Amino acid sequence: MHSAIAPDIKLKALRPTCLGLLIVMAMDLNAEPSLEANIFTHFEAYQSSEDTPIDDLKWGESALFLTGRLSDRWSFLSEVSLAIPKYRDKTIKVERLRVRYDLNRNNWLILGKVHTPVNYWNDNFHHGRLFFPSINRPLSFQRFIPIHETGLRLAGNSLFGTNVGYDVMLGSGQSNGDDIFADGVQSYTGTLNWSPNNDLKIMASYYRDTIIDHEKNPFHGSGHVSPIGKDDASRSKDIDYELISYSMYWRGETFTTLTELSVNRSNGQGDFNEAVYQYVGYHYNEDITLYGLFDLVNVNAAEVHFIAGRESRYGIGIEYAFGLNTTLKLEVRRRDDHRGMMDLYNNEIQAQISFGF
Amino acid sequence: MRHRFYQSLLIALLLASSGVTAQDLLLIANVPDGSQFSEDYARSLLRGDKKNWDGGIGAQVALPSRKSQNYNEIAQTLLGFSGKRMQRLWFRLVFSGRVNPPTYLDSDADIVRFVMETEGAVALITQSKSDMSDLITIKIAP
Repeated sequence: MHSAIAPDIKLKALRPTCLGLLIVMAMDLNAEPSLEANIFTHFEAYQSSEDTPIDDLKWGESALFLTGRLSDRWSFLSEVSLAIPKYRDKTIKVERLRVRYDLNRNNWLILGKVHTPVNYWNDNFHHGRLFFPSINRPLSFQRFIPIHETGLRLAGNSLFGTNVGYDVMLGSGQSNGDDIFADGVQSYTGTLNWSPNNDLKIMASYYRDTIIDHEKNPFHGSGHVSPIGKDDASRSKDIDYELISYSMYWRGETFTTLTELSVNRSNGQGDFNEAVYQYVGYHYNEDITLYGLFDLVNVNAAEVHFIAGRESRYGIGIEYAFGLNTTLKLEVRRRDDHRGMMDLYNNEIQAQISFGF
Repeated sequence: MRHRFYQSLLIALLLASSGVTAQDLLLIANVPDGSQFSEDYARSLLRGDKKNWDGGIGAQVALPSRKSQNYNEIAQTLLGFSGKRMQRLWFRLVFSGRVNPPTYLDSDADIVRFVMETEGAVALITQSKSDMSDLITIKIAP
């Protein structure tokens, strides 16, 4: 079903274009191919003052990560995650599968399923817990952040010879999942960033999508559909979704900070919903980091797609890195959840050991 | 005895005046045809800030492995921190898809051989080797 709200862009021609790109790629396979494989996994322990559905002990998501070069200019990246059936419907999921063609020194084209370049976290370390600054992803990732997109992405890291980078992505939209351009271009992502080196990156992005038949097709995962849609006319139809994000990552000799801010709204009306994630880490030495985190999501009452209410999580933690491949994190947090009918005040303690090989 | 002392002092002064010190490193690169080379850009490839040479040809970075004697020295010169932290940085960059996976090698000789054989390769070594005439070499002060 497609309403007039959805942009009437059915660029089915993009599918043969993508096929053409793959054929060009196949003709260019003249260099020695290479392949690198990494495996990531983690285990968690959790205790809280209130009853929650979270297990005391858990084997978390594992990921097989493959990267390689197909030729001088073509490379690929694949990430497949695995979780036991208790925790999700699909035991094995393809998280990323994309090929990259380097146009020149500073610009490249990507085709396939990627992490949508809307913020620093999603663009850098979505599935590898080993690299997460805190145990959990920001709360906004469970609801607002379009984690994956399947489509075509043009990116660069030196606009006009400066340290300004960009990303422009035409995507299939959250509703179509991995089915590339099944309904033409449904989502658009535009990102600008400034990064003089790997220790500092500031980025801002705008993302727009059409959520098809939003009552039956929740954003990503289940349980995100608002049970309190105010406008009956907006139920079971396509709605627009907009997300504006800002990120700043800085790694210094003594401190690391990561700020993730975003606002969003669906159906182009009402106030924006808000999300804030702030991490500050103090590097006691090379292996030990003490950190604090603050994480907040606030959905206004007029929202038609997401459950209205406020959810927050804040606390302190310690991270210990064993060599290169293992980290142990321990967090003590307060978590309040006032979404929908919930009224939870919870004190939590959580430990996570994560591996990467 | 005194003669030997003066001889040692003279050799030390000669070495110092020629600019050759134990901390000096050599940046070596097998630059692809048609690519421009600059020391700043080669350093940015070695730090993982950039991924490609001109024309989109991927850079192949060779780094000292944990077994290498130069593991910490090169990391300190390049990034200002330890070899372990350098490897953590590169692990994270590879995972994000920003760079090509680096090749970790145990000795200067292995690194020189790799750079000679690999178009687009770039690395830091501690001692000059014979037969590097095909490579660009630049002395890097610590």
